[in-house]
Amino acid sequence: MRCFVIITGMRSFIKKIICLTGLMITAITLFAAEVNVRYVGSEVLDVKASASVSAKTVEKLTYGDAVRLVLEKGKWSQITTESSKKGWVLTASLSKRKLTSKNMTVNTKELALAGKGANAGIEAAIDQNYNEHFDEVDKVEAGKVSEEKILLFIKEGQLNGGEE
Amino acid sequence: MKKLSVAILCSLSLIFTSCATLDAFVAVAKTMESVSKGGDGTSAPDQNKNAKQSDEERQDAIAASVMTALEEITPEDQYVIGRAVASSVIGKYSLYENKAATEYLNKILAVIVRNSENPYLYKGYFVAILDTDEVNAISSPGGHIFITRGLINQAKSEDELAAVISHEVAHIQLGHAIQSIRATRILDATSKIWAEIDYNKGTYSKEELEDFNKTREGIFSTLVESGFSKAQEFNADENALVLMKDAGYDPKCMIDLLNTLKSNTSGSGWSKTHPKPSNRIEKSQKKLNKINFNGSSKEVRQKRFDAAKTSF
Repeated sequence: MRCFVIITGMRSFIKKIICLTGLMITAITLFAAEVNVRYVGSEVLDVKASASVSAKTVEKLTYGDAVRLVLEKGKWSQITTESSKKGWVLTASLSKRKLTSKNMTVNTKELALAGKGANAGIEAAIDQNYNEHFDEVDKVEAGKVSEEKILLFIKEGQLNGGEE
Repeated sequence: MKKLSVAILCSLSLIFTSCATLDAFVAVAKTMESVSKGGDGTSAPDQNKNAKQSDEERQDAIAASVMTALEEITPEDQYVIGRAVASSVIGKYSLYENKAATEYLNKILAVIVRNSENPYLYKGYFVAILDTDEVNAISSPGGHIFITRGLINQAKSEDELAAVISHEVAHIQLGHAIQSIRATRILDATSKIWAEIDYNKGTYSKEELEDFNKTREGIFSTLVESGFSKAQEFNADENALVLMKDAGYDPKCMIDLLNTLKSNTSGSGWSKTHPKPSNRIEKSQKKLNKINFNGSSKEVRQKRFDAAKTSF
């Protein structure tokens, strides 16, 4: 009798293990298809023709865009975009976690690509109640220097250009 | 038997989830939780409906808490909070609007970040000058760096300015400002404010706005009043030395600057929010000994630094 109970218990246990292992394998198989997907973590991200900051830009992506990771090389990743273009981006600008902009509507996405802020809505709201300085923050952000000037600055100062 | 079952599943999950996403991990966690409750060999009849409901709620709560605990603050959230912090910094001090000097600093910054592992953030990095004699430098999690006129005037070379900027870039890249505030607080604040704002009407509730501002004030207070922890400061110095070397700036100039600050800045904002320069020199020197710098001498850049300094 005791032996029968043990055998029944064992069968039940083995069934559970087989069932749950099957579940896990299914989950992992489904996941494997998505394992190479990454999401853009910058408002605008230039996809470069080669692994160099000074390489030609082949496509511009915006925050939350999904790309497929092809390979990683140093701090660079080769990716394929949704429009099937292949190029290189810095690995640190990609996220494994799905990113969805809370403020990136079609209009604000266009604004972002035009180099304007996508955060105007929230700040207009805050600015009404607090003594804010967002106009001056805009001035700070407008202080970025052109690529041409930076390259000259690097050359004259015998500095490094961000190549691998 | 139940324990053995859970142990086997744990082992399997460890093997398979080494490269798994968060979602997959949570799915496994939920399954394991389910097994640990119902896997005792008995059937369900003796469990009444209420108990089942309670179990489901408990599982949902566990899954939700796992998700919350592992939730990251997005680059967009960091940028939004960072802009608000930058607004507070400008409110406390004033911008020193000198186009030539600001452009010079932004060129140095651009070289440092393009040689780093994370040159983008959400919208990039920016540097501006604060119009005060106080010796200090502050960075927001959104990539905004502020250096006071007082600190700029202590620098004797472009490479020393690069040391200041690299230190702030390191704080940003290491996420120190964000770490100073509980992650859940930032998530609460940003998600509520995003959810509440009606973009057409610009409306929001007072409560949500207060949450957002408490978060901003928490970060601002760390940056301006209490400072980061000593460990974070030393870590930022060590990373700054690598950033300098990678950009082609002489990392030894970090030590030169700290020596100047050692004798010139007692009681200033910098000394209030940073460890003693002598301690920073000691730690930085140890790291410096391990760095092999093959770049050009700071003298190459001295002429343009001297020219730029006349505009400070």
